[in-house]
Amino acid sequence: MDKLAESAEQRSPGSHGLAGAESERSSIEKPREIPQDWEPNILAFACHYCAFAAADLAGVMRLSYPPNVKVVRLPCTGKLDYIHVLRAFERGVDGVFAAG
Amino acid sequence: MSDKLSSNKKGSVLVVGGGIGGMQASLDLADSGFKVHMVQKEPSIGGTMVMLDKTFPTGDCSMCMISPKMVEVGRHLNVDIHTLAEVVSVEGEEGNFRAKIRLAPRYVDPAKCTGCGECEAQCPKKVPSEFDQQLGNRKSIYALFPQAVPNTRAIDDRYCLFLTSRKKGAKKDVCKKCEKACKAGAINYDDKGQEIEVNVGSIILAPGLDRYNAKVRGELGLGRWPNVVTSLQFERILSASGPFKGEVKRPSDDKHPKKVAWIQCVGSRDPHNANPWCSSVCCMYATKQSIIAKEHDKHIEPAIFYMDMRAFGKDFDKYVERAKNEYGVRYQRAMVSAIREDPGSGDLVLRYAAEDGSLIDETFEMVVLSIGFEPHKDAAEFAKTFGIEPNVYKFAKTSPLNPVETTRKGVFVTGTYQGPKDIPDTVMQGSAVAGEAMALLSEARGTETIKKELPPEKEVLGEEPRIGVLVCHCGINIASTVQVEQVVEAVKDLPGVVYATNTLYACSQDTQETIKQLVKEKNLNRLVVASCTPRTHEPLFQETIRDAGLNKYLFDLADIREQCSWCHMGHKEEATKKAIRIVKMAIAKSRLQEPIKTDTVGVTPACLIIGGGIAGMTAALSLADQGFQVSIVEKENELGGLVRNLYRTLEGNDVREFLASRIGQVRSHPKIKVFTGTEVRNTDGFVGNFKTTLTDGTEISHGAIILTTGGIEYEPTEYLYKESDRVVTQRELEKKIAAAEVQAGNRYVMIQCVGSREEPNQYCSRICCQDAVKNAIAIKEKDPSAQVFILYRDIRTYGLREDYYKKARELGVIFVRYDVNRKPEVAQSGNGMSVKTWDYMLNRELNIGADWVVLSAGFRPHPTTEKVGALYKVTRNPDGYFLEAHVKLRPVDFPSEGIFVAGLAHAPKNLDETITQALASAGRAGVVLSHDRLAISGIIAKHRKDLCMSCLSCFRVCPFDSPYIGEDGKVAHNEVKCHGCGICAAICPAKAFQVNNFRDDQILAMIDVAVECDTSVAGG
Repeated sequence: MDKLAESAEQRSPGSHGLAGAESERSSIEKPREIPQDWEPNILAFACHYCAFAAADLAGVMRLSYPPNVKVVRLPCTGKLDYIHVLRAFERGVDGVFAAG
Repeated sequence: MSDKLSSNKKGSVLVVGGGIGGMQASLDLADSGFKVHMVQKEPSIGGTMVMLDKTFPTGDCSMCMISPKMVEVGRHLNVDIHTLAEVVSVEGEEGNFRAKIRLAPRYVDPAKCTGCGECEAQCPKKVPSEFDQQLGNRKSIYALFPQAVPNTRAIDDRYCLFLTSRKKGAKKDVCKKCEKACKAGAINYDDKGQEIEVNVGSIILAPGLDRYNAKVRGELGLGRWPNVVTSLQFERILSASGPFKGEVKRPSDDKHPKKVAWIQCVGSRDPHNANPWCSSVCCMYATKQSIIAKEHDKHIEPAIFYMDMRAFGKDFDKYVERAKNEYGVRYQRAMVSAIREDPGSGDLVLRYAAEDGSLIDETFEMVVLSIGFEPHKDAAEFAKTFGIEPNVYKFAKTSPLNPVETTRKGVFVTGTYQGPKDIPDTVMQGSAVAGEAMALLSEARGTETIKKELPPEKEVLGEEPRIGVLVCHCGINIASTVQVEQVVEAVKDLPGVVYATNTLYACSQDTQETIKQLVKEKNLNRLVVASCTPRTHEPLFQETIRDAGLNKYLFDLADIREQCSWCHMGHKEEATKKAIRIVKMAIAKSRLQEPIKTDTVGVTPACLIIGGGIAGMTAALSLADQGFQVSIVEKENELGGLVRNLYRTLEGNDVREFLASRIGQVRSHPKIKVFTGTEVRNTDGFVGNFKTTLTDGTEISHGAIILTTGGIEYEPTEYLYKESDRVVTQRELEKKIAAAEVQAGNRYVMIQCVGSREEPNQYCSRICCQDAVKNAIAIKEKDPSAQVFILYRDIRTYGLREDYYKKARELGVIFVRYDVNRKPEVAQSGNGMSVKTWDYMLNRELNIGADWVVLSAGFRPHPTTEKVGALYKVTRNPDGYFLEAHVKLRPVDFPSEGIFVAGLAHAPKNLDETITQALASAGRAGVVLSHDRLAISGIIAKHRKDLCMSCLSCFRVCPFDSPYIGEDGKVAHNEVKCHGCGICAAICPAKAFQVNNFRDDQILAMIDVAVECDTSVAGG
């Protein structure tokens, strides 16, 4: 947490030279510094028939990718609702990947 | 006698061949009450289609389409697959055959094998892979490809180190690594194979094809120059799961080629050292390969060397135009006479004659030979085994009027063994032979199929979740990367979980018994298994818990193999963390699972057919013979449609006699009602339960609909048609020939593509080339002094029809090519006509005097197509033809269940193809109508009227038309039509739609768990 606090300080509005607009933003919207060892936490929404099958095939072919992606299976990408995406971001996910 | 015969009829069918044609036939039959024995020579089903990367003209992934079908065949209760098997003898007759099948030893016990593949990983012996066309290697114990069905590995005894050394009499055991690797103890080196006998009512032959061996044509350099590959090798090169992982590279030096040439007709349309027929698919697959190659690597410059561009299928011409205009594919009309390698660079120099006759040497970096189809090497022997007659080229002998019947009654043929054809035509024939077998064996339907008896379902609604969790080692497939015990430890105390354990193989037979016991002992009401993908294994576990008395939707599968251990090898800690997360997500969902009651609806065993042409009548007879009531509605006052204007087929069959007999059969069949001079006024309902009112007030209840509304012939407005009586259409000429009204010594100039292959009708009418050839042959045979010129753009006598093109040339018919930008000009001259055209061979203008100008007028969809389409809410393509559910694998279905299409209403086609498609639609309709009740899937959207505001959002987005306006004027939902895609649920502002087992609360619960922070950083 110290690291984060430090980085938030470093990126305080003034240091950007964009003082006007930036300083009026609430503290929630302040972009955070990205620590060096940081890995994004990604949530994928995948269609059962295509993208989920592709994720399976990647395994069958032993293709390697970072483990910080979790897949939620949907019956169709058309089922993906904005509430799902919003909830994911609300809970702190760093990226949403919709594939289908 | 007939009673005795019928009582002997068997309710099972032998399907020889497990490619896409055999699979379609098997599924249609097994889904409609017949037992199927499928015999496949290779260790897996799939045939040729599994080797393809993409398919034309949509660019869909081939494996993605066929793999779910293979899984469906593999899991079907009423399909027995016999792989590594061959039929050795057939006795008996139609309705009752006895076939002996020889099963080669597999050396792996399918009952014990779990398909984990550990044996394959340990096997030290590498063998060139047949599947990758020798561009890569496989092991001596192997699965043909990763998605193989069945996924039991097989040992190739020609290469296995142990088996070959034992055969040589080695004293000491060699290798045996697979046996040591197999934790399930499935390896059996003493397997001797076996012979079995099956007793079936009908036999379907779908053995597929072989490909021309292009090494015979040494001048093209295959096998000599490494950068010359076959088209099938190029498919594997393009495939993301192929030997080059989808990268377009040269085999010699891994260099990315820029200039790539395709050479067409290698082994086809060439009687010298090759095959005289056209293989029907190469023009299109070369176009597809050049487009896909370009998509993989935009620097590639594709060039296709061809004789005639045969883009005769639905939407094919548009595809070729796109290749030319959007992808810059170069189409070079030339035959390549020789290829030589440029020493050092590995480049290839092609020699060909340009259009003006000059010889050109052009250098390419890679060359693809578009190799053609031919019957299997042992086709002659094969025909003998089944007691059928082959044709001169060793394809099965059939007639255009009975296109899927062999010469032996009760034995049918589908796919490329009947003649070269593409995937949709093969699938169509697959459903057509299924329809034929259904009609033949209708009284035995349901006599040999198995139905499972199930215990009553336990009531769990309102109970607290009691979840059992099973984490699978999958031998070492999961356990070598994921710490399975840690996963168990991490989830065993989660809320709702009452029991968690690990198991060596979750899918093995004894684990199924363990699961049933656990459900009883621990009083479980939910189950989560953490193992492999739900796409293949969910049904197995669902079946198991259903056997234990739980509703099958109280199950969830956490995929920790394909989506975790296999792609995070060497990262044990992270993989274990991810596996825990995946299992927690499944548990979160499981807690919220509820039993789902699946409903059924009754089926009216009757069919309505709209259109009384040859397609409608053929479908009607097949369905009536299957035992269903059929109503044909024909707008005109008589049956027959366009075929009434036809006299003979290209092959010489008498069409008028055929039509008369077919009308007679339809009129006299007790199960067929014909309404002529009538149309459909309105219609309502859904699969199994349609209600239709005709314009004469008749009301019909029926379970299925076949649209055979046909087409019309284009009436030319060009080339002085209607202005001069010397300008006629092919159809009018055919009538004159039949009436012997042609005069001796006349000169005919035929003009092709009138009203076809030009905007706004950018499609080929498919039959006109053959029509011109047919009439030209008829004229020349009757009167050799007559002169016939055919002015063409590309001669498209595809498949075995190429013979007639050759025959016409031999009879002295003169073919002159014209270009669409330089069309022939027709003028009146004295009593006759004159036609001016540019001859590209002579490089000068020709002025041909003619007694007759004959126009090959194309097809148009029937004007009623639009109205009928709107009535049944089925879509049409830009040209106005009905659009099928899927151009490759569902060529007679519509997306709306219970509605089918056949004949010209679908696209221009020949008489034999129309008959085939009609039989196919009858086969598909038979599948629906053979059920007393249709089960509604459990995974569907549920509609809550109390929340719904009838805003119609769902109404607009549903691809299946399941929401409708109810009698109260508010939105209601027809669950029978619903496919459970959930688009309605996403769009509904009131959240009145929720998809069973994918409810928003379940998805949100999964999201919450998925995103819970692992570390302080990730969550912030």
